[in-house]
Amino acid sequence: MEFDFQTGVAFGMLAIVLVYLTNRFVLTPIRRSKTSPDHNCGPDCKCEH
Amino acid sequence: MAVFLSEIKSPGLFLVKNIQGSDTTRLLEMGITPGIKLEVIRRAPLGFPVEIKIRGYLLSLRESEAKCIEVEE
Amino acid sequence: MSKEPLTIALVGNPNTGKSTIFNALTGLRQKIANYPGITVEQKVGTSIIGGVLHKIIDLPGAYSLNYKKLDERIAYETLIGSYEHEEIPDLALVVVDSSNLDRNLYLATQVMDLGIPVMLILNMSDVAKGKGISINPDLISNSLGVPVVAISAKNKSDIDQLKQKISESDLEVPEPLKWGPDDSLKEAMNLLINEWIKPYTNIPESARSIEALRLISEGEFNNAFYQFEKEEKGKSTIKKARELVEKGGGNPMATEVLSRYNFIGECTSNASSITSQTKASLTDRIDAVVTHKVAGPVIFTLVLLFMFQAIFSWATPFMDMIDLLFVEGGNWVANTLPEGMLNDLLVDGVIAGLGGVVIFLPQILFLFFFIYVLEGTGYMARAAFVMDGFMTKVGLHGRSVVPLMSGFACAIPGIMATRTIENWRDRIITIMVLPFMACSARLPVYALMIAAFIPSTTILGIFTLQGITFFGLYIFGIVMAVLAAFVMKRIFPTGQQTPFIMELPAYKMPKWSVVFQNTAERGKVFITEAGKIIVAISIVLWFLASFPKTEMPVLTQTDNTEYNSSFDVTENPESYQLRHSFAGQFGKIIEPVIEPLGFDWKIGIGLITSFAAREVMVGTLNTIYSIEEEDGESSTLKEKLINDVNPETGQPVYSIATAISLMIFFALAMQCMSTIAIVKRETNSWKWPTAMFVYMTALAYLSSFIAFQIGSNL
Ligand SMILES: Nc1nc2c(ncn2[C@@H]2O[C@H](COP(=O)(O)OP(=O)(O)O)[C@@H](O)[C@H]2O)c(=O)[nH]1
Repeated sequence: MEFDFQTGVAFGMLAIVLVYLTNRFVLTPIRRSKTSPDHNCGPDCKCEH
Repeated sequence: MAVFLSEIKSPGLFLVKNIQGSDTTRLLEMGITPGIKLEVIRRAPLGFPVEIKIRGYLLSLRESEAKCIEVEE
Repeated sequence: MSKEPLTIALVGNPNTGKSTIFNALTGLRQKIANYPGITVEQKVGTSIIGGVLHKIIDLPGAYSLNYKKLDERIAYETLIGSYEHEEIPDLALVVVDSSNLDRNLYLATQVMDLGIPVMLILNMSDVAKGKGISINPDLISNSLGVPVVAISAKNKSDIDQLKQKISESDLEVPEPLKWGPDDSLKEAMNLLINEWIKPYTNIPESARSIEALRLISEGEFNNAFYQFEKEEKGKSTIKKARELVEKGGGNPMATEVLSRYNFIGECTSNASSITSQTKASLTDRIDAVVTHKVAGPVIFTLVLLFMFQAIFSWATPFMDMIDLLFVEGGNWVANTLPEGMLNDLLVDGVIAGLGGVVIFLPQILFLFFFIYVLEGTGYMARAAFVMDGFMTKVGLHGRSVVPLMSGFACAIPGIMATRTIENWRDRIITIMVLPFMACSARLPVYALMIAAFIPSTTILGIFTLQGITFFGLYIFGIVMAVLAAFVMKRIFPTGQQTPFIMELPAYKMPKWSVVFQNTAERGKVFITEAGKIIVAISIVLWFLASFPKTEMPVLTQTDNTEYNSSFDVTENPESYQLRHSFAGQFGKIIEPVIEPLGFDWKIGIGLITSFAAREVMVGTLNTIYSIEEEDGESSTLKEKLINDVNPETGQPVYSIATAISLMIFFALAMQCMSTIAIVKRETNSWKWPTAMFVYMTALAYLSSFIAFQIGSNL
């Protein structure tokens, strides 16, 4: 497999996409779960009567 | 003679006598206060909820709420 | 009169026209954000009024500040400034429905106790007039002690009048407790404020009396949203305060409400009059039919049937157009760009993947259009009324109907909409079964399978077998949701019947600009949110399907006997490449697991990638099949599926049994990361999303297994 301009761009796109997906599905959820949402309404939140 | 809204089977005009029960605040807040006119419009397919007209607007109540409302013809 | 930029909050009962006024004031200068940590939408915008740029906030609809559900709590908290990112509003515009003045003014009198300037907007003047109600705004203004403006939000010049009134406002704080609590209630409030609220909580000063009233009425503080100390002291003080009210002859739950309504009655009795009408209003006449005991459920079913038939058939020409566009576009790029890896990636990865997303835009737009029309006309509430009896039988709730119907579009807004269900148990059951509703992300898969494998025979003149299969899949989802709810009702302890107090708003012509705007917004979110992920995944997939590069052994007549089983004379190089790529290897690994369902390794890859979003499945198949295809003219995915043959047996890969099994799997399996994420957020624990994933996927596997085994042995 020779390495030409097109191959370079293609792999560049792959790299960008991988960064985007990691950020979206790995990093952001982790960050979110750390800043605990204090106004959250769950089973223990009695604002539902 | 006072009856509970839950027992009224056919449409008609009534007068609210009293609201009783453990959690009646919201019913009162929606304007169902003693002395106000209440019109029973119809019942849903399986009997409840019941649709009423109160203070010019339409409201749907389940059996458990209708049981809290005492009315008079 | 103020030249300072202000923060202006719009507050009012649901359906009073807040959003209409908000849109009229802000125009396009608005953004929708989420409240921190929760998923209720917050609409903030700006408006130039009298030469000053003001900030406008549209609060969720509320009947009372004594909140019974999250929307109401948010309105309350925003008004008293308990959110860190949001200061106390400088002016509250209380929007009331003039045709239903008394109940609307209840909230207004509460807001007037918050120590912030208030202006009353008597909206829907046109509706009130039509009902024979005439209101004198000046008299209302005098007796309430706040500025009042009567408008109809649909009328441009009325909005200008409103702006004028805002710019002239002297921002006076209304006299607190103007409704006149009796002495014992006043005493009780003071006791509670001085002995507990003031020293031990961080409730802002201006909100103390409203909070005191709320606590006296509730009798307890349920996980208050503010910080407090000395819980025991708080509880005993509330008890003491309630005793004071009782000693004065009042009922702590009712005294405040009754006093407010007395006050409202005095205000409105001389300021408004009604020329009584004898003939039934349009709303009454429509309701006599659509909420009829027998006709009601029938009409509801017909509405749904019509909706889905329309989505399926009306969208088809648009979809064909989009399909053609992407096929032609792909061909053009393939022939224009010099040959190479980028060319392949663009054509087979990006364009094919993107085409697979955009094609479903027409159906999504139609679906949301119908939902917004039903909501805008007021029919949704009738549907809840008619269905509540049936819903409670199976452990759901009349209010579940609307979230469940939103689930037809997407489970995520549906799950968010369950916040209107006040009871936690009802709410969790609704959330747990909601993903069975056939969301629009399943459409692509259903549509593809139906178009390819179900004949388009016409039945009864207007329906086609395809349309009916489509409808059947939706019904299947509903039935499964009902069964699951029925089972869950047994599992979770039965509480008492929960309150269901729902307003049935008068029928209205929906505001078309709002319907179109909201529909377009949904479409945009689908393309940008789902689209981004889908294109990204298409690119990754293309790489997985293209590497490692393997050359097909060159055929010669002589060594014909030496081929191993993985190689077939009839196979083309693209297919060979795919089977030996990472993706192919992975699909092969899971093939034994899914084989009993009638799926091959290509569907296996699709099942994995569709976890990102169900519609990715179609994009994936698109990618796999365009890679596999011989160079030359592209054909549509539908044709490729029909023509795909198993290289080993020569039989078509897709039988009807496979197609049905696949549709059933998609109907039942929990294959959506976003849904899992939203359930985690809404329930605040991993317990529910995990349970959801396990039970739904198990059910899907089992059902598909049965369907395929029966189907292929017939
Ligand atoms: N006739 C009439 N309809 C109105 C007026 N203001 C709002 N509407 C309609 O009432 C419905 C509810 O309005 P919306 O702004 O969504 O209410 P919200 O729930 O308070 O935000 C929409 O269909 C509006 O088009 C008005 O002044 N006159």
